[in-house]
Amino acid sequence: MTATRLKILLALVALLALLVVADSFVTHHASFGIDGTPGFAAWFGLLGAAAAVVIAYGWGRLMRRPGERVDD
Amino acid sequence: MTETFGPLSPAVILIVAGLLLPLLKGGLRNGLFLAAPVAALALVWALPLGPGIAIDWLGMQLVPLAPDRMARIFGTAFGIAAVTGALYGISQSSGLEKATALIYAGAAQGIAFAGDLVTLFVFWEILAIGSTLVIWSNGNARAGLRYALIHVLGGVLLLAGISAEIAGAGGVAMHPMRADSIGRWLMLSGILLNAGAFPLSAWVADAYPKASWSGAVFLSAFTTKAAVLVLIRLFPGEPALLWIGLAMAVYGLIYALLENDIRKLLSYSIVGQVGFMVVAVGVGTPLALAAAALHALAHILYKSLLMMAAGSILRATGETRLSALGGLARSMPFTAVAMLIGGLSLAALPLTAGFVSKSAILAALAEDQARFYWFALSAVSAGSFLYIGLKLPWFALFGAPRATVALEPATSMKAAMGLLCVLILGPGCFPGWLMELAPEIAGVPILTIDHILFQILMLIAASCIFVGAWPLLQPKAGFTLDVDWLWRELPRLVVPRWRSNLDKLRLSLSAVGEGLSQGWSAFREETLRRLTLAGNWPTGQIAFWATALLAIYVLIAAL
Repeated sequence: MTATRLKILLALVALLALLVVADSFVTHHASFGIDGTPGFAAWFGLLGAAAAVVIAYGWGRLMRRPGERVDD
Repeated sequence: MTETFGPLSPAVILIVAGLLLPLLKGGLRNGLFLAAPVAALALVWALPLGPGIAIDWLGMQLVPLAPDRMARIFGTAFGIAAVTGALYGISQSSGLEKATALIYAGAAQGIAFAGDLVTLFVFWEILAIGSTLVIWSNGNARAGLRYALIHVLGGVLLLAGISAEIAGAGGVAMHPMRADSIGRWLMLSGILLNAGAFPLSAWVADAYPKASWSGAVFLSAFTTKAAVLVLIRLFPGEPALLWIGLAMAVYGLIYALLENDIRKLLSYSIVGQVGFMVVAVGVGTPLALAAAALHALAHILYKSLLMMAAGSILRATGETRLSALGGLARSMPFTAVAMLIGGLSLAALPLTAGFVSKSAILAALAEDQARFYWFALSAVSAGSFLYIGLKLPWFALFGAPRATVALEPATSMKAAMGLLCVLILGPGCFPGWLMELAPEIAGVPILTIDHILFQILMLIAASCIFVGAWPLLQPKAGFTLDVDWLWRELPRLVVPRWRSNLDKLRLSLSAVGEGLSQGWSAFREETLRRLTLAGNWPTGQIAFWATALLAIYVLIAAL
């Protein structure tokens, strides 16, 4: 990881942590219980985006091909 | 007031203008190209809401113009897409594209206002023809043919389903139904094919990027969203739509994340976002249907804007591959801002139209206690930000420039993009505008502190993953195999292998044919010789042949 990327990542994590703290002072209107817990959107967003990257990467390893399609 | 307008429909205005357009030149042509969509949009709002006028035709009660609230929402969305698309593409030199784009937009309006199955099918087919011609007008015959064939299949399925429905129910009225018979499944399949439903989604990313820089803007707006409207009218609450919509959302996300070409990425993203709408239609409550309609409206706005930004880049650089672009924020600042606003609206950033409509969809899922779909679509929504809010702008707009900008977007193109930015941010800041269109969403918490914070946390979390997983998300040249491999690549692989076997078979067949031919010649000569001497045939032989002929006749009659 380059130094610039590391700095950006740390800044984003710090911002996320700050907003999670702010989230604990807000009244939530939960629909399923867990979605009303402080910081839920942060860890769920991390998991959701990470799962998307992992699945896309795996699918790309299987299905991605170089070049153009022959009939394009 | 309906009597004042009579049968005048927004569809008629656009289709007639599209037919007249090739007869005009220069300023007159451009004037009509712009004036017709404006007039059609005005008529969408001038038409009073009501059941429409029924016309008796061949014993069927047709309602070609049924202006209800859903028709008004979709008519507005299609109208805005046509107006901004025409403004954006006014400098397009292809008269064929302009004419067919108007006919295509008119067909979409026809579907929006159709009050019966026959009218729906007629406009459905005009829609397919118009969109095919928009692709063909850019000179890509093969892609246009593939697109036409897949829509012929969709049209046949829909026609078979409608025929079965008319035969069974005895009427052509459009009414909510369940996919509980073969005929209705055929109808549902035909509609879903047009919606880009998985597994037949590949045509969207195959065809749309083959259109011109302006044609793709029209294509991104009409076909899939018209299908969503028909699903709302015919299959609200159909349980199968829940998993079909989710499959579309996941498919769109994964393929867009892998894609290198901007316009293909946006096409995959269309499938993904239509998946959200299809899930909402599957829920089927009044809130869910209103949310699906509003998401279609918001999606038409931001996807048109994104396609315009992509078209501007293509027109300026001749390039749409992320791996060959970069640094466009400096050389094309207006386009860059448009792309960012469109992308952030798709990612449902607060204060954009996409935030309002996506919040309404999730609220509808929560209201219906559809727990699994709520969590799944929330995760997909976070993932969508990766490709549209981060990957696309990062590699196209920032970093080192890798493509030369030869053309600045024309003023009309900037005006269209600016108008769409206002239409995205306006309802985002003042959701009450959308609530007037769809009062069902009035109770949905949108601009509340906890909801805004929820969404911002999701987007920042996705940004952390983007930076952390940077090497995995680098755009790479190439393509991702899809279900269309079965009819695009497989025959090319199979045919050469079987060619030698086919050659042998052909030789054997020709030998057999030669033998048969010789046998036939001999038989014919012998028969002719004997016929000339028919008078000398023995009576027993004549009786035998007469009996044989009679037996063959009886057998055929019995069959």
